[in-house]
Amino acid sequence: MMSDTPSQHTTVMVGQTPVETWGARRFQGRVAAVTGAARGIGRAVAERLIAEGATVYCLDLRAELLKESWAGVERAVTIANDVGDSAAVDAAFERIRAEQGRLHVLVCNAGVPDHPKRARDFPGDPEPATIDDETWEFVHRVNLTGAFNCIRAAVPLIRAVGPAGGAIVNLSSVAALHPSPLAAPYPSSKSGLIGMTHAFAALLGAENIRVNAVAPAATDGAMMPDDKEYLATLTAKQPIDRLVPPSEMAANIVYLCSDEAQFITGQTVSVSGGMVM
Amino acid sequence: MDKYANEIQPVVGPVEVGGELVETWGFRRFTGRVAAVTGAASGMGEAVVRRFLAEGAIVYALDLSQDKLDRMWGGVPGVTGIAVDVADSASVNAAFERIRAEHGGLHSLVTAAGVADSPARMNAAGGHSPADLSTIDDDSWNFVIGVNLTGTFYCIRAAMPLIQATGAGGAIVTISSVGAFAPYPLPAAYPASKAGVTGMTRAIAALVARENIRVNAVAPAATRTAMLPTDEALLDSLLALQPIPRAIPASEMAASIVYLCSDEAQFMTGQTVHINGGMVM
Repeated sequence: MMSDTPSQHTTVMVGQTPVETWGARRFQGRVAAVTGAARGIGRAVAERLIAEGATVYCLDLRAELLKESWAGVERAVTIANDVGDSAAVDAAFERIRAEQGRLHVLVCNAGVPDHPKRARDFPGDPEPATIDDETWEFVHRVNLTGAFNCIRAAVPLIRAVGPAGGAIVNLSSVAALHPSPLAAPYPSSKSGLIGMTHAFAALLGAENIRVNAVAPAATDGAMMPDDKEYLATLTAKQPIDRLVPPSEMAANIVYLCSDEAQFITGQTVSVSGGMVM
Repeated sequence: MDKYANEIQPVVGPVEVGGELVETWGFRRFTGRVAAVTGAASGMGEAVVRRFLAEGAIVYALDLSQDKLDRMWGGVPGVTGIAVDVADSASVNAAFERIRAEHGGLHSLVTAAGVADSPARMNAAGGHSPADLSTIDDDSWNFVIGVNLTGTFYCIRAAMPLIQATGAGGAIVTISSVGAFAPYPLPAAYPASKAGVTGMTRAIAALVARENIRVNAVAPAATRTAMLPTDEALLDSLLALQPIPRAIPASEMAASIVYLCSDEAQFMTGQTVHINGGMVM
């Protein structure tokens, strides 16, 4: 019986975090922006991009957490703002324009599971009568309008790259594809992202600007409660029955941002351990 | 912004494989791992072999003709050509038995062998064949299903014990087609076989997931290989359906296929990844 030979692991330190790159340097000299970059998937995406040579603008609402996450990390620039506030988003991308002139990669990751007054993580109450207008609007404002605000502000900067174009990845969710009785605003906003992804992919394809979505299953990040029993009910729906770490999710997102995926656009890639096929 | 107007990205990790440069971006994900690729004497299969070799894999290149394999891979380090007819289960079993005897296990399988139509119909039509149902005889139908669908099944069935033998899991990538998803009047056997591949991919993915063996499909649009329509007008009409209106180089297809085989995609299984310039979303 043969044992599998380990491949050539290459770990790059980003601040205090070891990041597995397998030796790749796909983003040398490139500029990226990642929203929701203080924690979880967003932070892992920014770390991987930096490990492969990019300069990354890390956006997040949580100013203190953002500063603390990226203190002393080379090629990480923090901007604290609210993606739901279009003026704040325009100002952030204006700063990127002024400092870099162009942008190769945008990852719209900022998102909320519910209104914080109801639930800070999953699962919030799914009963329709409990979902007030403010909750519905808040979740869509961050998850859907926030991504739109960022894409609208970023497209002129991606166009400035020239014929080589660039890539946008929106974070949808397996909740948009798999029927499960979650509080409706979250799957609704995450499905909206898929529609928007199609529209912008169709619009921008001829300019070599690719727009894709990733639909993760439960990821071991800030949005998941520290409740083993609940998490086990989620992962039990996956043929690969485990909670995925943010770094693995980041590997797939960053692949879609890279020139390795030059011909992939308008797709929703379900990184879900087979929960949705 | 003029100074960026023609920014050309630096080529980071080109590796020479058999006289050709393969862009790896520095990736070395397959050092010492064993991979088998069918349809490996030309087109997409050839590009997948090159990319695997460039990242350090030991590769078995399977194709119909030993002659073609020798011409393509003779003298290239790390690759062994085995003549096999994927539609013949005895031939497939013998090929994988040889891999078992030489290496004991297998990490990746890419089933790239495929045909657009039967040789008789392709030759009669001078490149692309008619879709009229009355022209598709039993032999043509059976030939296309036999290579594209049954051949994929034979290879996965023969490879599975070898992948299980690694004890560390592995990955299988099957080749579907945008033809299975876009309503386009192709001769029916091809889209039927390629849609069948996605159903089989899901079933086997669900079956072997707990063993850490992942099974995914890719569904390419027109790729620059010998299977590309030679009729310019037909090709243009196909490319016009894509927001990114160009034919995809085989090396770009290989990049995505090899990514799905790698540990970068450890959590992806049962998926069909559409690589089609946006033709189907």
